[in-house]
Amino acid sequence: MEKCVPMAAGKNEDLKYEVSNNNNRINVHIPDDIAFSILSKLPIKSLKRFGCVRKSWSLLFENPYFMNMLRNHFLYNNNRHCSDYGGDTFLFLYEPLRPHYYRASFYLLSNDKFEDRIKLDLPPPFDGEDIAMYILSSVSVNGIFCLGKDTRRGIVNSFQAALWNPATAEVMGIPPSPDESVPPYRDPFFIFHGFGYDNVRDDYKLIRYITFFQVVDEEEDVPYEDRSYDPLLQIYSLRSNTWRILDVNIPDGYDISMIDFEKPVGVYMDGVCHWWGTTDFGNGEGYLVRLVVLNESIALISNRFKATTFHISILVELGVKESWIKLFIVGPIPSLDWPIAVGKKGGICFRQTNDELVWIDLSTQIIDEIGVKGERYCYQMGIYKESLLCIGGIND
Amino acid sequence: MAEEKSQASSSKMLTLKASDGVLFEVELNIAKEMKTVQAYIDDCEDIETIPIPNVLGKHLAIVIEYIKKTNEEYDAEFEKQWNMDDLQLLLLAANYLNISGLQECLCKAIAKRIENKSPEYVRKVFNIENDHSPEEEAKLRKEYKWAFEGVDKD
Repeated sequence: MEKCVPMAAGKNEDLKYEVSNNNNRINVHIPDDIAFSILSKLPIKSLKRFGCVRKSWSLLFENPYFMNMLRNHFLYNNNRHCSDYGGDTFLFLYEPLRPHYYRASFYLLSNDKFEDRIKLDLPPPFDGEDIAMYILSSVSVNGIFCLGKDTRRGIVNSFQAALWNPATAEVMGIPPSPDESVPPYRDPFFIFHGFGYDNVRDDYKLIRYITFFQVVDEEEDVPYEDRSYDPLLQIYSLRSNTWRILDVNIPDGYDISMIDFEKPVGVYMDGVCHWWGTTDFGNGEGYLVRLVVLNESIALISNRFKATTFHISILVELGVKESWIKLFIVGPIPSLDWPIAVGKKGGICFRQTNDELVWIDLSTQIIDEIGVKGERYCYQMGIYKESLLCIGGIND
Repeated sequence: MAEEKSQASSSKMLTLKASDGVLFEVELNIAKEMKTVQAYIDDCEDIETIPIPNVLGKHLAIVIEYIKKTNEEYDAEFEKQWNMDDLQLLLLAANYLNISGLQECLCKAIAKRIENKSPEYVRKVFNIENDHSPEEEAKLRKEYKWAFEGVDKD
């Protein structure tokens, strides 16, 4: 004899549906908490648009319960590049060999743990003792890095770059641009660099912005009116192995990341290079800002100078300044000094005031030591996926 | 043998009765994936038929099939067979029966389908009345103009 027990009224008491007579549409009513589960899986652009649907949806970003769901989805559900997460993390830093003596080191970490590291030798001329070396755009594209080295003697700048595939140890130096070897009346000063991939032409490119200092030379015979001190924006293509000048107007007055410890490297994502610049020359409120790529979005990590609370905002729509949305707050955590990079699993690498690097999980704020110390401000980190791409083979 | 073992532990069958009276005989371990059902089994050991008053037979059949077959490949194809109404009803069923994997799968599927749509479309899909005043809505549309670019035509 079967025993039927009625189910007690559950959370879906208001569940009801009826089949209406016109075109068999069913009038389903989805309660808010379930609707939020659906909404939390939408891109932020869609959410902002759907604020028009009804009042409660226009207040989603002020709803802490919803924002938690949204943050979790943002961190852990990036379906697009799930395959990338099988890669390693590269870490470029200046390690102290002895007090005040630092040497550039390049590591590959698996599982973001320093104990599972492999140290790779940097290729010449990047294996020296220069302190002004970096990875352009803090990125490896299809397993290739672009290494850069600034050498300054007084106000004279020289810049060397090379493409490097650590998996094959292939190195290819980038030739200097003819506009660098400038007439004697001017000296170049490199403002910013970028490296990226042109997927339309299957080409690897460098971009560089140079301004010029006047050099006073009594023997200079180029008349003043014929001289040019105009800044130049140049782009190098690996396919053609040449530089050319881009006719683009960089607005005056932008000072690209001229805080002395921040190298002008910027970030690269999806065919676009980004740099953080400022038009504020000292009248600002003392905010420090770090531009990073967080889960397929351009993001800013910022804090007030010396404060240990960091705000993370993401740029929802490229080119739309109104689309910066603050998504995370980290801290206050007294030991934190400066953010370094974003890791694979929803974590951010920070440098602590004791020089140690740590991971902070953005959803739990749990701190995990990486186990490495280094020189202040000279760290770069990112995702690396090994490839056997032959750089030389890309030359046409 | 592993096969026999699983047979033995799941040899107990349960009957689930959908809201329209359709009966489903399922193995205990399948029924247990529905946490709501599990809770009732825990409460009353002698149950043989459990009424599921909120779910139509058509949807309960789909839910049971999902539980039996779910894996990465199956989940990826699962949602493609159903229209929006069925997806929503399945979501309500999965929510009522407390099957978290299916809820996740369905929420993602519905989100994917409305991602590029207009607010009007979404209102129709969810049967929502617009409680914004015209001025409020106009203000939102102006403020988030950038979010309206590239939207699918209704």
